[in-house]
Amino acid sequence: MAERYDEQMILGYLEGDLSPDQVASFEALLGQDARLRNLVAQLLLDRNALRKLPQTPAPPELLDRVNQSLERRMLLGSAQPEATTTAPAERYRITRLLAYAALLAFVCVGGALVIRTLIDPKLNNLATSKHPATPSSEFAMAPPPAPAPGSPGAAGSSSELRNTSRLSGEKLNVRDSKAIAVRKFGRDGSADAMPHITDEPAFDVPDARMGLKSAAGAVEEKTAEKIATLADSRAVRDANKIKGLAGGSSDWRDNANAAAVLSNGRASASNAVAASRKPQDDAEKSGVADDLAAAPAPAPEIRGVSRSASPGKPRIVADVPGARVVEDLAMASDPESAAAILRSVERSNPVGTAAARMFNQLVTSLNEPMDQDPNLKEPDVRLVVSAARAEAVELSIREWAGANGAEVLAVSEQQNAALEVPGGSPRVGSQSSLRNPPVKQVMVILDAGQIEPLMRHLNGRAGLSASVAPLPTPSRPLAKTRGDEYSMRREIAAAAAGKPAAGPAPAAAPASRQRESDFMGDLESVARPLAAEATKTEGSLAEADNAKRDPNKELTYRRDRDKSDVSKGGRYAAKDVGHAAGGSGMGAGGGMGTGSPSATTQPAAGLDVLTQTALRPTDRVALPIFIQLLDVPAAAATPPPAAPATSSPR
Amino acid sequence: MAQPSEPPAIEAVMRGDAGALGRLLEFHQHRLYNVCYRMLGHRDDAAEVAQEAMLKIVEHIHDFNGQSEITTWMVRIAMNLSISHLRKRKLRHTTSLDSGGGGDPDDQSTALRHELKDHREPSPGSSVEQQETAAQLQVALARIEEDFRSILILRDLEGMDYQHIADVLALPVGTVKSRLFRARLALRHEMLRLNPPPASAPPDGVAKEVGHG
Repeated sequence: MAERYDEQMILGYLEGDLSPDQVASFEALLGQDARLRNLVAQLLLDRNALRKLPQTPAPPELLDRVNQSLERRMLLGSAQPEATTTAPAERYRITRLLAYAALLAFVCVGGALVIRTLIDPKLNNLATSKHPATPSSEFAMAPPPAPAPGSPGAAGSSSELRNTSRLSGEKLNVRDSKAIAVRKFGRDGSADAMPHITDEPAFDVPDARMGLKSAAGAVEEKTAEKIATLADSRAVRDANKIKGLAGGSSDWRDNANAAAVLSNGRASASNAVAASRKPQDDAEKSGVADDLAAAPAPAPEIRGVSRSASPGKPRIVADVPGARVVEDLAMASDPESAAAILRSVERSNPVGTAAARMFNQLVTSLNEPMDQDPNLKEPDVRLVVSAARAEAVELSIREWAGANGAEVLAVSEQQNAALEVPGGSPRVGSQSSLRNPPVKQVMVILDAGQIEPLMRHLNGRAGLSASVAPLPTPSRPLAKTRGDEYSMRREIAAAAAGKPAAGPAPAAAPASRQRESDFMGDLESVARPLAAEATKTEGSLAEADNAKRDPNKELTYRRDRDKSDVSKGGRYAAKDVGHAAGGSGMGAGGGMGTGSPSATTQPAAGLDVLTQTALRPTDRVALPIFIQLLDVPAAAATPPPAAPATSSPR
Repeated sequence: MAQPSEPPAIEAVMRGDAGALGRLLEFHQHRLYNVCYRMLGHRDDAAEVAQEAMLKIVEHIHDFNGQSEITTWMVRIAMNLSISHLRKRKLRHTTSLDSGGGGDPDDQSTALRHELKDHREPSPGSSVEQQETAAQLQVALARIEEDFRSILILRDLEGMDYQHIADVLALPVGTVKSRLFRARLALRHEMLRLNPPPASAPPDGVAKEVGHG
């Protein structure tokens, strides 16, 4: 019988909880269902009979027994067990909950132990290897892969295999790190070894090292093979992780890390297998194993870290004996690891520490990204002085450099190449020899923060007014790193120093005022369009105003450095009022120190080198100072009272 | 001992009036004993458990917080002690002397059968049929599960409403209702076992089906 009845309805009817309507409907249902009617009738009978059960009187002595019990307890002072005021079901529920909680805790602890055992490679190694790895083998880095038997170097490889099992891991580390460095960077430290590295899959450092340790500690062949296979599979898996993290980074350290770990991991794993397959007998048969095994490992020493021709990619010199520290540092996955390596070797290996710090500092500085400001500015100075004062100015620069720790790299002289006016503007002095005035370049290596002092020095001593103006978009590609930038500047400086002066010899000194007038006219013709151009250039408004106001006192030259054979790296502007002589004509100064300091004009407002060139005060820069030689008669070159020369780069 | 006509004021009991507490126990002694007797089905056990319940009441009367009626609280203690006694008896697997040594020690109806014989003696105030029915009900009540028994006792013998039953048994009211219906069906099923219908009558399996439905 599949019929089901509404329990609530039946119970409500029995207990009298139904409303009259519900009672009527239920009774109608009872009239239709005889079985339900019979059931309800019997249930009602049972209920009524149960309610009519007589109350059984308590025994008359019950209260007396209670009193006696109370008196006995009072006399004995014994406390009865705690009253049971909670429902038994509740007590048992609590007990069940406690039991379940205990069972759950037990399962969790057991599961954690199992997971820990499965995950921890050390425990795995202990479980699978009959001979656990010794401490020395744990920290040993296995040698490079053994070459094929009979091939050159087989004996050495065998001996290295022997070393793996006999010598301490510390000695092998030094030797192996050298080999690894050679493999990675080439013996000459060339950059050609890098491209293939980027294509290599990368090991995860902890996994790979752990695999190496396990492989080195495994004696049996099968165990070694298993571990090597495991390490390789982990490497494939983790390579994707590292690649994903690198995200196509061009940082050579990422690639170097990956390559180092890859080479170490594969070499060590394969060598562990080879070592297990080729016991020490093979190495002993080679005849040189004992000699090599007895040979002491090379003592760590520093030969330095060199940079390759490719800027921004430092290389470890191939035969650096202390390369292990550098190697470890390069393999450090994060700054904390690198710091830990430094701390670990600081006491025991001061040479390695020095190498590591040098390496770290170089890498950090060279890989520091440049501010990718499209308006990157490069300071350089252009002066226009008379030929008679040029040497004095140069001497003054040298003196200042010697006194302030700067360095004068090169002094070159060339013909007029740097003073071309952008946009095909007419050359200076088209009708005279001034159209081709020679240019002398003095390259000064100094801190960026020293540029302004140098300018003040020139202004004060040489009667010039030199400053640095904002530059528009540079004409050469921006360097990605400061290392690149530094390298490019040095190349420019070297090119400038090595390039012979071109063009005709300096023109003869003008001897007439007519020529001076021609020169001034030329200057004026150049200054006006340049002043108009300057108004369009941010930060040059003040210069343009000055040029418009008194073109005889301040003439502004703007040059596109792209058109210069000497300096291809940027633009500059030069002001030269040192020889502008107001109404009395120009005249060169009578020599350094002879000009009146009061004639020096202040640089244009806001010409701050550091803020406009995105350089830091401590940045080492190569500052080219281009001295335009004007062949002005010394007799006529009387320094005007308030007409200093101004060099304003753009 | 004459039973007091009305219970003493609970305030007097809570103030530590020993006389009031004595009167309270005297007023409720039969009720407590009946609860224990219907639950245990044995007079001596019922007297023992009722005595223990009274002692607990005396000892913990100051723990009564007044959230429920004092009667409910006392019945709850008696009911809990009875259930604990039943479970201890099951664990001990002792053989009741009343069972004659041949019956199931867990069968609560063994002692009731003897009582059933006693009740078969006709009394002036009751018919033989009523006495037979009462005896069968007691036997059937002893056979059903203690959870069902307790709820039937509280509902039909003690006349408690759902809320009081829920307070005594520490159950939700909905559970009380559901369990009460199943208890009635279980009782009906046991009654049918004790008094099977005639062979000519159609089998009545409704109670069992509903009980399992």
